[in-house]
Amino acid sequence: MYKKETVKEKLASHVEKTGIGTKHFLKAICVMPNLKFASQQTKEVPVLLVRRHPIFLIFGILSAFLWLFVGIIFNLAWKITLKGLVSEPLLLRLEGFTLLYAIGLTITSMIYSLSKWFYNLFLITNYRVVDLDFRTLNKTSWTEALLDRIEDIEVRNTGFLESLFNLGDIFVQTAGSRDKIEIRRIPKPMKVQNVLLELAQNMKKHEHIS
Amino acid sequence: MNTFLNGPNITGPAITLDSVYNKIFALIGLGAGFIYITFAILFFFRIKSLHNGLKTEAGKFIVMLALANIVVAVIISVFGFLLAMV
Repeated sequence: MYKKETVKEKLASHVEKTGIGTKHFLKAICVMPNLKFASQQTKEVPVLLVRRHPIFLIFGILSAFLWLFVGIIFNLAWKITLKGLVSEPLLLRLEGFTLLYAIGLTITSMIYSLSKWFYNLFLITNYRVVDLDFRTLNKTSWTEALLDRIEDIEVRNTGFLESLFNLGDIFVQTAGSRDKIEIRRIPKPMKVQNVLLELAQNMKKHEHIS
Repeated sequence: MNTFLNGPNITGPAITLDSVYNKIFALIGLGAGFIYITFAILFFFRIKSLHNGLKTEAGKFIVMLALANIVVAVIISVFGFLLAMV
């Protein structure tokens, strides 16, 4: 019987040796994250938190500026189509309104992209693996599987960006479950797979904390 | 002259294209603001529930951002509505 802190230190030193990531929470791979989740057991220690590569966060934030672009295009369209048809003050108000909403939607889209990146994650503890997906405003999913029920861990690496940045998708197959546990476009997928495999093997051998 | 033969004498403000556009614009201003604020509120509650499921320090920052988004939505909606109505 180990104390929770001892186990945490053991796990931390073991995972940190692999050089997989840092403890910084906003990194794509966070080692020994300081977090608590709803179904966490008393002796359960979060070991690894994995998110998509930050390049996709940057893409999301940059794509938010499309709203500004759309606003400018609409303003040009108003000028071309409504000039002469409506009075000048009305046209000015319409342009101001469009620009105001374009700025607002750009800010909202940025916050939405950041939240989507932040809450699409894969959490590995010494007991289980958790897949949290925040897809749309009304669609989120939280899938869990105990490590000893893991049967197969598949890593896929396809695509140009994936090859360039060493990204990959991880699919976890569990016994008797149809729920998909997967995370896409994460950095260092092979190292994540290794950590997951080691923890699963330890769990099966009952070498985890108990 | 008999008014009956001339037809009724209608007086009042002329219906111009400007007034029609003004009405449409006001309706759009009202609707857009309503949709924007509703989205911001739903987004905040979604983030809040996700944060309750997974409590982290950085998660608090995301919740604050979602709250700030509501403020942005209210400001944009109010100013947009004023622009559409005035």
